[in-house]
Amino acid sequence: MTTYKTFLKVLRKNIWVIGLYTLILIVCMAGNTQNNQSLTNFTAARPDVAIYDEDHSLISERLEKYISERANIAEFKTDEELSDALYFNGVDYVINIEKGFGEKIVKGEKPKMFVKSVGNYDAYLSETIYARFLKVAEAFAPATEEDLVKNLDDVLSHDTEVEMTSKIDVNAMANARNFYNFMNYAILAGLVFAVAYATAAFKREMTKKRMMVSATNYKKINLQLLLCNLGVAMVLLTFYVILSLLMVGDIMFTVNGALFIANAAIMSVFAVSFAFLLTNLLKNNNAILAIVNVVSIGSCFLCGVFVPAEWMPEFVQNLGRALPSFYYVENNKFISELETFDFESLKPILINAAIILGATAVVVIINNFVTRKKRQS
Amino acid sequence: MRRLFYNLKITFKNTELIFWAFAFPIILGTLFFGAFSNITTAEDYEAIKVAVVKNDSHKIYPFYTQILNTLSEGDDKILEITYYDSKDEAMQKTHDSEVSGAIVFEDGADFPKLVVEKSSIDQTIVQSIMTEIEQAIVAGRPFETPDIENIYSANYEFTMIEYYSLLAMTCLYGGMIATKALDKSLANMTASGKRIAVASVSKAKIILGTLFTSYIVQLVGLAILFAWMTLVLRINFGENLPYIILFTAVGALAGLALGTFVSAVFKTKEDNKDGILTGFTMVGCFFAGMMGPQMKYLIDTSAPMINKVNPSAIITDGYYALAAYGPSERYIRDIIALLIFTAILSTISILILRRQKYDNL
Repeated sequence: MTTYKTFLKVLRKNIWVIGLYTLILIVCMAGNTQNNQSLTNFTAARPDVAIYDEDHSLISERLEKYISERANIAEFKTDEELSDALYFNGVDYVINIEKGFGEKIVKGEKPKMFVKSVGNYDAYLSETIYARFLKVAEAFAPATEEDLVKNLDDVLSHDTEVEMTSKIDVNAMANARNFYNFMNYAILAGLVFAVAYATAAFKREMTKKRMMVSATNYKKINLQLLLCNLGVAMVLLTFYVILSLLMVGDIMFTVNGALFIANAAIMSVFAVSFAFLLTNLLKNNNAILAIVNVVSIGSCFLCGVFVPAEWMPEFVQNLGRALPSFYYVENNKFISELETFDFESLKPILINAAIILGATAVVVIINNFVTRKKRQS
Repeated sequence: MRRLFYNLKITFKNTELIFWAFAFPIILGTLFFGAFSNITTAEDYEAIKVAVVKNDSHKIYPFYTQILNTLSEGDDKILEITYYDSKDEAMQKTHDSEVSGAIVFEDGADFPKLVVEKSSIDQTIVQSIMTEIEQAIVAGRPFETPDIENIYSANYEFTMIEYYSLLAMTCLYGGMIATKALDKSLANMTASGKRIAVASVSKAKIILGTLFTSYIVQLVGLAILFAWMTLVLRINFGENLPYIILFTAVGALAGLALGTFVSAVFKTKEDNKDGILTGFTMVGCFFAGMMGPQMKYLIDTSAPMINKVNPSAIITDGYYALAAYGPSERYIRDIIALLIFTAILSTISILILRRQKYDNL
C-alpha cells in the first residue's frame, strides 16, 4: 500500500503533464473534426472558393449562385487576409469577375478570366466547377441574357448519379480515426512522461537503498510499481475513451469503436513498458523529458499522425516502419475502413497488433537485461 | 569579462541545457525536413485511378470512352482508366481502394453512374468530369475550353511555418538557460545563490551578467540551428537575412525574459521550472503551427486572441510576415508585440527579484 500511495503522490504532482497533452489532443481534434453530420450517402467534397464580382450582372450572379451550391464561399476583408488564406490553404481558389463579363458572354465573346489557384486537388475541383459554367454559357452564346440563364439552368441541373457501396458513416469514422491517431501523441508524451516521472522517484539512490533494506521483497515492490503503471495507463485510457465518446459520438459503440479502443490499449501497454525502460536507463527527470519529447514528436511526424504518411518520402516512411506508432496509426486506418469482421478482414489489424506487442516484449527484455546488469554492478 | 568567461564555461558544461538549446531543435529540424521534403510534390495533382466496366452494347459507351481516353493521355493526364469486363471485378478494385470509383453503364439507363466506396475529393472530381460529359450531351453542342489564367504563385513554401515555429521554439527554450543561470544566483534555490546573497558584490550586477551570458548562449544556439537549416538542410529563408537576424535577436530576448520570469515567479524545484517552460513553449508552438501549419491559421481566424499573446505564434508570424510581405507593418507589429511581452515579464521579474532578503533559509 505504501508503494501505491507514494506512486500516486508523485503522480499527482505531475498530473499537469497529462492535462497539457490532453489539451493538445482536444485542440488537435477540434481543428480536424469533419462535419458532424452523419454521412452514409455520397456527398461531394466542397472546396473553399472566394469570388470577387465587379460585374454584378445576371450572368455573374448566376455564376456565383452555381458555385456557392457546390463550394464553400469564403470572404476576406483585406488583401492580407486573402494572401494568408491562400498560403495556409484557407481558400483553394479565387475567382475575379471583371466588369463587362456578363455583356461579353451574352455577345458570344470569350472573356479572359483571372483566378488564383493554390494548385491542390480542391483547387482543381473548383476549376472544373467554374470552367463547366463558362463552357455551358459560352456554348449557348450569343443569346439574350434571359435565354442564356434558362439554358444554363436546364443544362447545369444535370448531375451524374453516384452510388456509394459502403454503409460506413464516413464522417464519424474519419473523426474517430483522427482522434485515435492524435491519441498516439498524448499516450507517448503525456502517459510516458507521467509514468516515467513517478517511477523515477523510486529509482533515486537514497530511495533505492531504503527499499533494499526494507522488509518488503524487491520483487513485490516491482510488481506493485508495474501494477501502478498499468493502472494509470488504464485510467488514462478510460478517460480518453470517454473523451472520444463526447467528441466522436455513437460510432464508438460499434465494433469499429471497440477495435479503436483495443488498439489504443495495446499502444498504452507499449508506452508503459517504454516508460519503465526510460526510468531504468536515465536518472535525471530532465533527460526523461528530453527523450519523451524527441520520441513522441518524432514518432508522430514519421508515422503519419501530424502529416499523412503517403505525403512523405519513401525513406522516411520506411524509417517510420521501425516504430510501433506506425502500426498503431496503420491499424486505425484499417479499423476505419472495416465493414466485415471475419478473420480475413481482421488479419492485417491482428498482425499490426502483434508487432506492437512484439515491440513491447523487446522493450521488456531490454529492460530486464539493463536491470540485471545494474544489479550485478 | 572574466565573469562572462566563467559563466559561459559553466553554461556550456551543462549537458541538459546544451541538449535543449542546441541538439533538440536540430533533431526536430532534421525530422521536419524528412517529413516535409516531399509535401509540395505530394500536393501536386496526380491522375485519379478509375475503373470502367465495359459495355459495348450501350449507345453512349463509345462517346464516353472516347472522352475518358483523351483525359487519360499525356504527362498531365487527369484520369488513369482501367477497363474491366465484369462489374464484380471493378467493384472489388473499388472496395480494395485500388481505384477511386467505377463507371458503370447499365442497360436501360441514359447515362452511366459512378460507383464509389467513399465520398472524398477524388470521387468528387471524377463525378464532376462525368457530369460535364453528361451536360455536353444534354446541351447537344460542343464545349470549348474557357480562357482561364492562374495569376497566383507563392514564392515561399507552405511548410516553412514548421521551420519558423522551430526557430520560435528555440528562442523560447533558450529561456531555460536563463532560468538555470538565474537559479544559481537565487538564495532560495542554490548554495551558490546563498553565497552570492551574503557576498559584498552588487547582486544586480551578477544577475545582469548572468542574463547577458545566457543571451549570448541563446544566440549561439540559434545561429547553429540557422546554419544547420540553411547550409545542411538547404532550407531557403529568403533574402531578408538582416531582418531575420534582427527578429531572431528580439525573439531570443523574449525567451530570456520568459526564462527570467519563470525563475523569479515560481518558487519551486528546478525540474518543475523546466517543466513549466517546456509545457508553455510546446503548447505555444503547437498553436503556432509546429504540428501542422493549418493550426496557426485555424487559431488566427477562429480565436485570434490566443496567438496575439502567444510568443511562439508572434515569433512564427514575424518570420512568415517577412517572407510573405517583406519588412512590412506586420513585421514591425510583431517586433513591438515581442518587445511588449519582454518588457512586461522583465518588469514583473525585477519587482520580484529586487531587494529580496532572507532572515533564514
